[in-house]
Amino acid sequence: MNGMGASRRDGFFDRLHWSGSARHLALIRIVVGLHLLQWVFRSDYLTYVDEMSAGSAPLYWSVIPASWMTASVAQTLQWIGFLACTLMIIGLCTRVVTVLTTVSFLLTNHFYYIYTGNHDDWLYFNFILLTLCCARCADAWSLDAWWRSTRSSAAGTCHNSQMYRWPVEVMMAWFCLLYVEAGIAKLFPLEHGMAWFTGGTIQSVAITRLLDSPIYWWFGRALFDYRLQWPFVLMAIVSVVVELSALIPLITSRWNAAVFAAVMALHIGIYSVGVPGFPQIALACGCLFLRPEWFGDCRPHLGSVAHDQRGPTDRLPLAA
Amino acid sequence: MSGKVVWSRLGNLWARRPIRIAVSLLLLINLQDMTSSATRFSHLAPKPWLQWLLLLLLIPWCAYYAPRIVRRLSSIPIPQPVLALFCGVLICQAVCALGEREVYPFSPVGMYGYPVHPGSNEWACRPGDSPDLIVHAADGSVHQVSYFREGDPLFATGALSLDMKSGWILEKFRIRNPTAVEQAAVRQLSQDGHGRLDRALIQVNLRTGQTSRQPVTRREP
Repeated sequence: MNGMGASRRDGFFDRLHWSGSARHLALIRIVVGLHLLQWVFRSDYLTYVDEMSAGSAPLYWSVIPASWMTASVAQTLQWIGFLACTLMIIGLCTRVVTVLTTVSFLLTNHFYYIYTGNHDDWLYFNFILLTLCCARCADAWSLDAWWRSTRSSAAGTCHNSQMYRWPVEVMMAWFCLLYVEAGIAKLFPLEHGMAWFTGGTIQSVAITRLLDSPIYWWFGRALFDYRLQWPFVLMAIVSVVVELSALIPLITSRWNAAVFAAVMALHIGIYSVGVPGFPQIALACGCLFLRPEWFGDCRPHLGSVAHDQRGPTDRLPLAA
Repeated sequence: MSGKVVWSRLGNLWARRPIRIAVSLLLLINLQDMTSSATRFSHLAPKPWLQWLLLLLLIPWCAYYAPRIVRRLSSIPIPQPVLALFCGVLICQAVCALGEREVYPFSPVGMYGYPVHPGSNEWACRPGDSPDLIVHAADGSVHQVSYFREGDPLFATGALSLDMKSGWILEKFRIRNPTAVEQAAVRQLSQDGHGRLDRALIQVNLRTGQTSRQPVTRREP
């Protein structure tokens, strides 16, 4: 059984046993790092949070005590995060700087969250960074890998290629679960879930954010009379369907492209009515949906029985 | 029909995968409904006895599935300490999702999950009672300031130098702390050497698409 037949199972648990690509994992490290550098660590947002919330008590809960974090500490951590993230992208002392990036991201977003209650990057990247901390994400396309290869030809080779697969699958599962949770939160409690399908929430967002929406900036007016109910009913149904469809990649990988395209379309739609910030996050997470086989350093997987027969045969030299 | 026969037939039913999936979904949907009702909408009507019964059925359901889940988890190629860490995070996340409680860094991700009944007002404007800023640039052009827009790399007019997160924060605090937001915006506008500033209440007519700007008397912060 080579596992390549049409009937092979490719659920989340099956895929964890498949071979992965060191380059794929490295690409994720680089893309996530570039995203955080551009949208989080270079931003002035902590200055504004400090200025706007001066003197007021935190409004939202965190497992991290609020007293641990002052604005100056948060800003120092942001600088540390900036440096660590830059080193993470180029892959220098990758394990240490990934942990530093994760800690500074977690803590600066704690400060941001307790005063604003905003959900954005942290929902996605806290867990993705945690996974990168535990993964061998610097075995390709990094200064560490280059340094190891100059010191010894054997260094950096002969790793179990599953070690590159499970982090990608776990991160993708997290991404998908966030959307499934968002869909579930809209449906429950059941008595109120039905009310959500009246589209009132999306309608309200579209109306109150009209002046701050790309639709208004582009056309100078609303697309249609937003007091009409039925387009928003349709949008409410579509949004829940798309969010719940994110469960599909956990069951089979065959629809990954379609699910990701639907999620991107959802975010672009939401962005167009005045909720910015998410298309670029989803785009950065899009690299999780790439197939490891496309990177040229991933051996064909051995099928569903392979995970019980790991050994020297499942080891392969890393491509330089 | 004796109890033994009933038990045997139930066992035969349970042996079918679609039945197990359907029952599991039913139990989980019931659990989510009960926990989210209790947390978010404690004023809702008490749950019927059937829902309490389904909740109780979770005990044998867990007893059936827990060893299988543990066996499955122990066979996956993730190092044990890392797996334990991930399981801890997932359990915390699941508790937050079930209870619809948000405690950073765990969240039920209930963004825009609350049902809202919008009014039937013909005019759309920003929430809050703070006026919008209008910039009269030196070249004669007029911009109405949108913090979201100035933070958007695709649509920024350049009236303010903001990134996307900063734009979010200014917009967020426009209602909670309008004075501080206006001070920050005015400070940056004067730093950048922009022209005259006005304050206005900007509204858009949803039916005709017409934008109205009603001047508001200057209010010193």
